Amino acid sequence: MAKKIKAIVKLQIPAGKANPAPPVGTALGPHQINIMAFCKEYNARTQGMVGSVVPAEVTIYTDQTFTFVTKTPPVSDLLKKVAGIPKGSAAPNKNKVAKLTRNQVREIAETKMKDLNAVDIDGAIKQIEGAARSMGITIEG
Amino acid sequence: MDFIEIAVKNIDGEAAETISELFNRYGHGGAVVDTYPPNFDRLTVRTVISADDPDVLGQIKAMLALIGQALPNGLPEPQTQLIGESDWAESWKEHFHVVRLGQHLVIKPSWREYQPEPPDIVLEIDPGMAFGSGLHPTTQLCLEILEQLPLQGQSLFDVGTGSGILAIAAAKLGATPIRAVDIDDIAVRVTRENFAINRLTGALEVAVGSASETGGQKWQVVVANILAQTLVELMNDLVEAMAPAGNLILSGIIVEHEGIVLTALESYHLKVIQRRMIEDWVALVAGR
Repeated sequence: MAKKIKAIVKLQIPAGKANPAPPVGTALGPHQINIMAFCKEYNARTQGMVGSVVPAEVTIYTDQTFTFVTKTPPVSDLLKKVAGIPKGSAAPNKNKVAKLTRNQVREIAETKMKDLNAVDIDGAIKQIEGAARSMGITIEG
Repeated sequence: MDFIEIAVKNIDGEAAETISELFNRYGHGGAVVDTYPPNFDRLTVRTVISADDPDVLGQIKAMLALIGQALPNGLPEPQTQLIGESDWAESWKEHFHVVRLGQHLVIKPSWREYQPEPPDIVLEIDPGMAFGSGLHPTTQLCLEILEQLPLQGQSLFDVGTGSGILAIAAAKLGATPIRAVDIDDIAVRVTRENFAINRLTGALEVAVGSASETGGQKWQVVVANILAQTLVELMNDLVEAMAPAGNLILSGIIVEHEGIVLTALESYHLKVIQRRMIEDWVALVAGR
């Protein structure tokens, strides 16, 4: 019989750096799972991606076991990397902090496609463009 | 450290994605999205900030208000609560029980009762915020290997000691002298405390440092339970730390990364003497 799901917890945390402090500890602690085991496993699987945020979707079962899969980094993280900026603009309408080409946006959309709620690549590109604008990144071309 | 948790509850996926981006930017250590059956499409997004940083809370609330205005259904009021260190640092202890490993090893959390019977070898551990509770396969593999080695009177160097669990096991199995290092000063403090709980005295040394901090000597057993890539990066220092006929125990290797560790061992002309596996974790014993 399939195990019964108690909760699904998606953690957006820096690769290779999980530890039992908040937010990991406070997110997983109430579900009574082995937090240290999660941290060690997450860090092992994401060690090659240090410097990126790598989301982990943790499925917790009613018998206190868990499984997890890692996802692609969030759009904002990919945009910052490609644009070469440490953070987005605090006033995105007024202060533009970087420029990207349409091809760069397409590449990000292709990377994120499997984790986005987009029907096709054009829909994914639209989502990426929206996120870029909210961070003060303009798209050229 | 005390934290303030900020949670926006009962929202849809689109709102959750936008708020996660915001929490990633301003929160401490990232964002968390959770969902419960039967309504997996209703989500809660959380983050924490340092309780000493009320300005950030104000900024986040202002940004949430702006996001709420842009969404057709608005956003529920964010909920905040103070999370004291004791709330998060102690909660995992409830599920940490006495565990038997290998032939005679018994791991006893320091807050649990256990009446040992011969020939039990009891390791009393309070891992605190350090890695090494004995519950994880990587630690279990090392403990099984240590129990099988003739450790009596052998010198041992534990790199990335965490809670000190492997050094403590080695000491109880007769290894001496022992040196344990970790780059995390919390781990070094926890290891010292665990040595004291186990009433270990004699030739035991704990220091902040990595594999190069050998204490100026070669070791008959070198053990490193870290992660595959780190083991590869440290390989030169680990090999340098070994006595000519020494054993190198490597753990923390997820099976898909075993190849890079084997290649590194080969490049130092080390042979794998033993390989053990639990779930998808591998531990290797190598020698010259």
